[in-house]
Amino acid sequence: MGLSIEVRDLTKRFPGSRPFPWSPPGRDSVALSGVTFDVRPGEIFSLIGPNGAGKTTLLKILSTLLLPTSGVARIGGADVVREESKVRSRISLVTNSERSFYYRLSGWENLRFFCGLYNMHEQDLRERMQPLAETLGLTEAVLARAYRTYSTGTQRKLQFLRAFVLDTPVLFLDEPTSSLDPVSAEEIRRVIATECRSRRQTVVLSANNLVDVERLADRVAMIHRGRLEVLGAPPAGSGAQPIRLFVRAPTPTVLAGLEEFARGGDPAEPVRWEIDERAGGSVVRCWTRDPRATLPGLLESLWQAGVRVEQVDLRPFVLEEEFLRRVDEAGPEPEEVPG
Amino acid sequence: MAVETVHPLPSAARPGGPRAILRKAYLFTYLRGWLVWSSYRAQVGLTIVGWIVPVFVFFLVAVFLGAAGSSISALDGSSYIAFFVVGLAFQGFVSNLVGMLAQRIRSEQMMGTLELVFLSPTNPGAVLIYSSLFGVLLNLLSAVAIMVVGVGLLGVQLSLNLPTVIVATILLAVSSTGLSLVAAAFILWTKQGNPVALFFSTFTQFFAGVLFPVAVLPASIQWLAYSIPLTFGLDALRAGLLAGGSLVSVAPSLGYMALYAVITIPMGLLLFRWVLNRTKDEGTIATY
Repeated sequence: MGLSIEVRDLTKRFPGSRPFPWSPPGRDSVALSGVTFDVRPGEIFSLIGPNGAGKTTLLKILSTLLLPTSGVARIGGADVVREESKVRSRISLVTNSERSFYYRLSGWENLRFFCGLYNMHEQDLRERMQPLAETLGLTEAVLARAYRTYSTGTQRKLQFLRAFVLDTPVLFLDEPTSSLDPVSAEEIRRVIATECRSRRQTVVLSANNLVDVERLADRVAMIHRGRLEVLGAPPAGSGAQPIRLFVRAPTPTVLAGLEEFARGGDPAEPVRWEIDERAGGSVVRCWTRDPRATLPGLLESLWQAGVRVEQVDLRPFVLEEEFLRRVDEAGPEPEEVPG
Repeated sequence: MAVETVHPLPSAARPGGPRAILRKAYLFTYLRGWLVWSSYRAQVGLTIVGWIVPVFVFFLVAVFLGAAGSSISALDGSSYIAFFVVGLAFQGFVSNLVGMLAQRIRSEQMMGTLELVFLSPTNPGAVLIYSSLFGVLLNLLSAVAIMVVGVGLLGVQLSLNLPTVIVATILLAVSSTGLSLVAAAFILWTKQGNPVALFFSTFTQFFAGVLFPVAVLPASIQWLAYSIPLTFGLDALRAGLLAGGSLVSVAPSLGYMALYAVITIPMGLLLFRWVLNRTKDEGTIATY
């Protein structure tokens, strides 16, 4: 199968600022370093990473809005630097900013303007828009209103309507559900899942909301300190599997329950565990060869010890866990190192 | 070793052509230009007042100095009122044009739409040209309004040669585009402050024969007046509006404006492109 997006050894360095022309330049900041990945046609590829990790920088380079320092990025074979006009006719961008339309124009007038930049005729726009606007709940009355009167959810829906009407083969989504209430966020996820899948649109989704990523992405890559790594579940049968519990109880009580469970277990199959204190409770991770067989006894021991178990997760790969583990392992940002 | 093939992707842009050009001109002029501008009603009122007030100020100054109705040899026989009415009308037209693209870039930066406009397949150079159309029309309206006040209320006598006026106005607008692009590049880079437009506005009022003839200036600095196209534009327009001058009679002025446009527009476009790439390198297109 061919590739929609190819990125090879992409690096972006921002020069350090200087307060006056004669001042020595400040330290360069490296936003991306040697980033390499591919995205296949119709795939939803997600980028996660801490704030400031380089996700938006990468999306801006792929959208031709930012120049890379070195490396190559191609959209459908067209280079984002040398063939930017070709690239721009193949992509659209949905951002988390409400400042992406003219406030004084209505939704319909905004669509006419932005789709007109792609040479789209008004009649063509009307025909394409109708079924999509219905799906998004954007009625004619809503589209006739000034954009400045829209709620955040409606503003975001108008961005999706613009992107779907343009029907570009590649769609970049930058935090599509941020600052939306749970109902609107779910609506947006449903739209992405149905519309992008049915069009076989290639999507690069940058998200801090890991629910979006878990529900929508085919593959996930994490960017941290400018480096990108594609994440995935460990291969099945590779040894002990995790049981992840969210519990509410003081740590000594949780430990007592776990020790009680270990005493009654098979000495040939020891259970390994760790406890992480989190806001409002603790996360307990136990590794065992057979989670399904281990779980009832483990829950019973914890319950007997007085521990309230609120969540049980048997998935071999939990994105949030992986995210936190990698950020913890990397330690604080160099600027944040005390002393 | 497996070799990945590139998946050919279709373009979302529809074919261009003259109709697409006209459609974009309409979108930029009517939707992005007129509808947004006219939605700020206070601004509309104040802009019109701003067009008219200077005409009355200079009329009163002329009356006070006793030059209002006089025919002066340095003015080629036209009255001083007629002289400064044409000067003010078209100096305002040109200085607003020079600052207008910069103003448009600034407003798109503030509204957050600049990246979205530059993300479309429409070439950034074309975006600038389409963006300037509404400004040309609006500033032309201001020139017409000042002329109407001059003729209707201040008694300016017209002896019109329409082809000369049309060609001179078009060439005056086109010859200002290079400076307008330089000002736009400046604002894209610095975000605030526009020395090109500010300098042009004050400089031309003094040097370009707007309120007094260039002949009044000391001989050693008259060359400055003839280094700016507005001086030639005003010569041609005064001839076409007040003396019925034909195209042939103003051909040297028209030729100079055309030459100025041919030299400065490519330079302005190159500078804008360079600054755009620089802001793309720094990641500051949308910052304000």
